[in-house]
Amino acid sequence: MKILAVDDSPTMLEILSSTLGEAGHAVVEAGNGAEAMKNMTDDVDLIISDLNMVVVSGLQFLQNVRSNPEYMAKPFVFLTTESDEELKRAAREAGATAWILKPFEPRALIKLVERLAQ
Amino acid sequence: MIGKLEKFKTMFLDECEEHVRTLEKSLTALKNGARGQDWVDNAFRAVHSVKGGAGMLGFSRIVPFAHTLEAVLDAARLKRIPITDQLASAALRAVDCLSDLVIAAGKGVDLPSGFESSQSAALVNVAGISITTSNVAAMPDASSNADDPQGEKLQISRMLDISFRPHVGLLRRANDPLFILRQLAEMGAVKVSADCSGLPPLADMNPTDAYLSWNLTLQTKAAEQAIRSVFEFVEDDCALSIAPAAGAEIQAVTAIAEPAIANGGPDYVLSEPVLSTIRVDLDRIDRLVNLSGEIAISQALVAQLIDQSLFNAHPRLFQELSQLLTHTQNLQDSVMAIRAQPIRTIFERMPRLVRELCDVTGKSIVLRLVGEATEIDKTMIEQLSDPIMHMIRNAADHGIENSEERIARGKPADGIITLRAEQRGSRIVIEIEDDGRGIDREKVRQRALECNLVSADENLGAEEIDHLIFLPGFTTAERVSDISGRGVGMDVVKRNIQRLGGRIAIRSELGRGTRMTLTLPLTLAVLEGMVVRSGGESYVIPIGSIVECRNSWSKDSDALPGLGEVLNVRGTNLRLLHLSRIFNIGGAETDSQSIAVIAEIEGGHQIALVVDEIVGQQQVVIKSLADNFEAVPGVAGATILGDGRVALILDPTEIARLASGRGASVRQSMDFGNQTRRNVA
Repeated sequence: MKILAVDDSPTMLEILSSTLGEAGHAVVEAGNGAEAMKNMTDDVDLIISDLNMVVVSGLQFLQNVRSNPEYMAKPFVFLTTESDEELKRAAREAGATAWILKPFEPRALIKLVERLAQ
Repeated sequence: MIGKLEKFKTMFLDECEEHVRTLEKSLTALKNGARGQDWVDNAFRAVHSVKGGAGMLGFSRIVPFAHTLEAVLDAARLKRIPITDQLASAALRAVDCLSDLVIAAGKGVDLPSGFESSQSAALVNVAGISITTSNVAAMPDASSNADDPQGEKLQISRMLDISFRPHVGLLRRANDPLFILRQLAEMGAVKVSADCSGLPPLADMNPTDAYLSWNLTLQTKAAEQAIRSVFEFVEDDCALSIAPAAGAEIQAVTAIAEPAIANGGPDYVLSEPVLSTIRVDLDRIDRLVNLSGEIAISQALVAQLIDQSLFNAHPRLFQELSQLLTHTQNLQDSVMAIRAQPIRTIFERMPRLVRELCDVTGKSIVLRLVGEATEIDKTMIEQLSDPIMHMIRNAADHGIENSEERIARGKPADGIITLRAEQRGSRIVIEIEDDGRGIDREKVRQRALECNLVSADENLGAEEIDHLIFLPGFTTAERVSDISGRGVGMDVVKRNIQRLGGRIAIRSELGRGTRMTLTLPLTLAVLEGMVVRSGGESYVIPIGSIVECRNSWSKDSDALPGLGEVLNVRGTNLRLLHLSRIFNIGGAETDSQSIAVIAEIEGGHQIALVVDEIVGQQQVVIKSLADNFEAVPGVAGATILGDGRVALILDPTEIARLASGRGASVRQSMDFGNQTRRNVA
C-alpha cells in the first residue's frame, strides 16, 4: 500500500516511514501541506497528516484533497497532539476519516491503516 | 521500532535545538514589542512539535513542561490572554529551561526533581491561566491495549443494541461503514443485521449514496464512550443510537447540531522561506570536498601536459578545456557551499548568555546581532562558539558599566553589545563591540608589570598595551567573578582563532568602548597560501601568518650572543631562521637574492624565515598528514600543487619552536619530514 505521510517534524516523518515501511508499505513523505499537494498522486492509498503545519495546514490540505473528485474517497487520517473538540469537528466536517493522538503506539497505527485500506 | 529508537531520539534532539531557536527568536521579538500573529504562531508550533516528539519517544520529563508552555502560547495565540513583556520574558526563561531539559535528555542525565517546576509555576502565574493536564502522556507501554488508549475498561460485560442509520451522503465523505462494523467486531461479540429497506430499484441507484442501515447487538466490556468514538467521524452523517439491550426504552441519539465553523484552518502567513533540507554525514561531505580538490588538481595537470601544438591541431580542445576549468571551479565552490552554514547557529545562543549575564551582574545590556545570515564553514562554527562566548562575557563583565555609572557618565542606561558578522572578499569578519568603559591602558600596564609580562622601562605604544591582554596569564579582573576571570583568558581565545587560520585585532577607546575584530578564512579545507621555494623543494606558508617579505635583507642581519642570527626590522630584532637549515635541504640559499619572509607566530612574536624564492600566492587544498603519519613538527599539512608536486604547508609557530635549540629532535623530525614528503608523493 502507498501511504502519503505529512508532518513538519523530520523525526516524526522518519518514525512514520520506518514504522509503516517495516509493515511493508511504501511511504511518500511531505514536510507540509504544500509539499503534500505536490506529492499527492492517484496511486496513494491513504494519507496520514499532521494538523498544525506551516505554509499549508493539515486542514487546508484535507480540504484540497476532498475538493478533487479523484481523491474524494481516499482515507485521510490526522495524526496530531491536538485534542480540541472544535478542531476535531472541523476536521470531520472537512472529511477526515480518523483522528489519532500523538503519541501513538506503532502497532495500533499499522492496525488502523490496514483496516482502513481493506 | 525499538532498535531504531536511539536513532530517532538523536534526530529528535537535533530537531529540538532548531525548535528552541525558533522559540527564542519569536519570543525575543515579542518581548521587544513585535505583536505580529506570526511570531506567536511560530513559537506555538515549535513547542507543539517538541511536545509531540517528546511524547512519541518517551521523554516523559519534557512532555509536561512543554505542555505548560504550549498551553500558555496557545492562549496567547487565540488572544485569550494579552501578550505582555512579562509574559514574553517568563516564556523565554521557560524556553531556557526547556532547552536544559532537552540537553539533559540528550545526555541521559537526570536533572534534580523539581528542576523545572519553578519556571513552570512562574509562567502559569504570569499568564494567569489554569493548565489542564489531560492528554499529556508519553508513549503508551507497548503491552497496553492498542485499541484502548484512554485506558477505559469496564469489568462487566453487557449487551448493547446499536442502531446505525447512515444519511444518504455518508459515503461521499470518504467514510466506510464496513470499517466501523469491523472496529465494533473487535470490541466484543457482535451480531449484525442489515436493513435493506431503503434500497431503491437498481436503475435509480446512485453509487455514491448510502442506502443501507444496520442493527447490531454487541456484547462488550468497553465503555459507551469508547463505542461512540468508533462513530466519531460519521456522527454528523448518521442517526445513531446505543442502548442496553435489556432496557425497554431506546434512547435516540442524534448528532449535536452546532453551527459549522465557517473557515477551515487558520491562515498562516509565511514569515520565513521554508527550505527543504536533508541531513548528511559530515564525513561524506568532506570526502566530496577532497575529491573536488583532486579533480581541480588533475585538471590543472592535464592542462599543463597538453602541448601548444596539440591545441593548434585541435582548436576545440582549448575551448572544451576552459569549459572544464569553469565547471571544476563551480563544482569546488558548490561543494564548499555545502559545508557553509549561517553563523546564526552561534549568534542565536548569545541572547540567552546575555540574559543570564544581566541576571548575574545586575547590569542592563542589550545585545544587537548583525549579519546572522553570513555563511561560514561548519567546522569553524563549532570552534568559534567558545571564543565568541568568552568575548561577550568579557564585554558584559569588564566592559559595560552598571546603569548608575553609565548615567553618571552621560551614557544611556542600557549597555549595548553588538555582535556583527560579514564577508569581506575571501574572509569572514566577526566583530564584538561594546559601548562600555574601554581598556584602561594604565591599569593594563600596571597589571602586566605585576605579572612580569613586561619590564618597567619598556616603552609601549597604545596598541602594544592593548595586545598585552592576549598574553597568557594576564587578567585585569579585580575580582574573579562567576562569569569571567576564571583563568581561561584571551590568550586561549587568540590561540583558537589562530588555529582556525584567523587573526584577532583590538581597538579600544577609554570611556567609549572596545571592539574586537576576528578575521577568518572562509573555509578550513582550502588555505590561502604563499608558495615559496627552498633548494629544490616547494613549501606553502599560510598567508594569514605572513606580515611582510623583504629582499636585500642581509645588511640588516646580525648575530647576537645568546639569540643567534637576528634580522633588524625597523628597530626590532627578529629571530632569523633558514628554512634550508631547519629542513636540511641541500643547495639552497646560495645566491644573495634570497628572501626573508616575516611571519607572525603565537604570542604576538615575529620571526624571519629565509627562503630562496617566492613562487606566488595560491589557494591550496589542505591534506592532513596525521591520517597517514604522526603529526610532523613544523608541518601543518600537505598539498598538491598545480604541477603535481607535493608541498608541505608550514606552521611558523612550530618552526620557531623547532629551531629553539633542540638539535636532536629537529634533525629527527626533519628526516621524518623528508620521508613524509616522499610517501605523500
